[in-house]
Amino acid sequence: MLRLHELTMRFGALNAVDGVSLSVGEGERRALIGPNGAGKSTLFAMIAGALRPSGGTIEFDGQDVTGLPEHRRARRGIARTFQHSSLFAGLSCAENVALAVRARRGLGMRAWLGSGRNMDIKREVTGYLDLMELSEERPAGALSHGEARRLEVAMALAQQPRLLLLDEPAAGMSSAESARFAELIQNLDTTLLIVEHDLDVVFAVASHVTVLASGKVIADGSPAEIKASAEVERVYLGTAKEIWC
Amino acid sequence: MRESVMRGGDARMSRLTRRLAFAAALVLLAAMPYMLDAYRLDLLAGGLAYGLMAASLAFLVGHGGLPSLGHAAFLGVGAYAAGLTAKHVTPNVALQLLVAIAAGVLFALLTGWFAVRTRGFFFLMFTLAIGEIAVQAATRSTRVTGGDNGLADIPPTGLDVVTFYWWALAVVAVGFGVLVLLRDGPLGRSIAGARENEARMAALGYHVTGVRLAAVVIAGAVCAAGGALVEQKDTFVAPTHLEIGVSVLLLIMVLLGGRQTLIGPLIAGVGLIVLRSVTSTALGELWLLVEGALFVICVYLLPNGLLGRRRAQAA
Repeated sequence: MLRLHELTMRFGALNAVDGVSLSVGEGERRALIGPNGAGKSTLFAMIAGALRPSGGTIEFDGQDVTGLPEHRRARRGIARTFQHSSLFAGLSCAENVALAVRARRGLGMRAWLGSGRNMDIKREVTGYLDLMELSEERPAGALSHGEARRLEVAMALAQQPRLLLLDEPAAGMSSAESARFAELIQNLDTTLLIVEHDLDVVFAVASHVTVLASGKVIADGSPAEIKASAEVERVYLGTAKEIWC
Repeated sequence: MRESVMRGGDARMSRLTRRLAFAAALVLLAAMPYMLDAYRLDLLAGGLAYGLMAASLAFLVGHGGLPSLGHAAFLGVGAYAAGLTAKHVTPNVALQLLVAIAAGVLFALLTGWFAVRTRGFFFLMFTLAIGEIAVQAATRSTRVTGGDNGLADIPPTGLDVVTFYWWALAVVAVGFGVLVLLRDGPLGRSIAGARENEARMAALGYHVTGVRLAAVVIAGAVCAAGGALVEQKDTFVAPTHLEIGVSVLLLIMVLLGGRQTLIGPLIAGVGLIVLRSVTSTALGELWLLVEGALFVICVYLLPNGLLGRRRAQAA
């Protein structure tokens, strides 16, 4: 469903992403791990369309979308959450999600909607907020960190994407929160690409893991294979242990 | 962020209460011909026209987050379009108004197409430049616009003061109603979304440039309607109507009334026009000093505008 071919992003002399090729199949849950600066977020931004790659191609659903602007990719079914919560801070939680729902239904540019349609939208919004245990009226800017992360996900889910890109969704969550979160993700039936530092979440969610370091793919395999790989241990898990233990 | 949190206050004041207040104000204003003499009625009609234009600017600046320094250009486009229509095509005030609105939309599309691709300070400078270009265009194309002397010999509307006042009131009420409905509809909310977070809007599938352009077109069309009223009232329009000073005056109305509301700038617009007339009669040139002092005091004491303050306390 998603194929990256020799995808490259250069910032000056730095190759943030350096010839990454990978393909993600329909229904797969692919985790992308790697140390800070490995190019994970840059890769995400290119897949979503926020960054134009310096080289290589992105294919989604068998079509080349490399030149397609971000909003058109979103309409084709690619949704993302942001590493640092990117919400409509001044608007209520309900309105944050409603913007996503209206966009998906193609109603975002309508001057006016009948009350029937509005009720429909409201019902759907309430569903996503309940799922993420968020209250409707609070402004997004007043949420705690964990709540903001959940609102991020609620908005992405409201897009009913075919491919969901989650950029460190569990960052800053307590271990109880992230366990609940992993459970929720497991119950989604959408193709998933997830960048995450919390390896408990990664190994709980992913069906397949790709390891990135210095902009290159250095390993690729099932969660069990990745856990066992010495190379991965050295560049990533090793350093992680030093930091966290 | 604080201001938009307060915008939630709109929801607290129930829709019914707001509609009742709007209806009551409308009835009161419609009864003004029985209370005011012709001079004051004429003044009030002008005040309402400027109030509508201030509300349209508030839609752009407060709701859309697009600070414009050239909004008077839309006043000019509407006024010249209505005046030229009156002079060369038809004495029908409604048709003149429609032509003015169409001209406003066209001008908004032409200039907005480029303007919405800039951000913040550059948007401000761009709109300033558009305003200046509009003044130059009105001054230089002497044969069409009458140049510096203004568009003279516009035939009078044929409406007496009272009838014209009602016409102006109807246009302002409808124009304001349209602004409020659009603000609260899906497009208006998308405009608020683009103000809050462009990157997220794009990620949700919105064409952000298009959303911002829609905000410019709505504000421009409504402002052009106000411009048409200004021309019809005085049967005159000159390049001075488009000058930066007028754009700034509209901005002052928005700031005084509270840029997070639409009704505040409307009220401030009426108030400022009336106050200007009263003080300039009493004090001559000194009225500028009064207005300036008032503005400084208001901004100092009421950073969120008259209505913004009240709402903050309510919340």
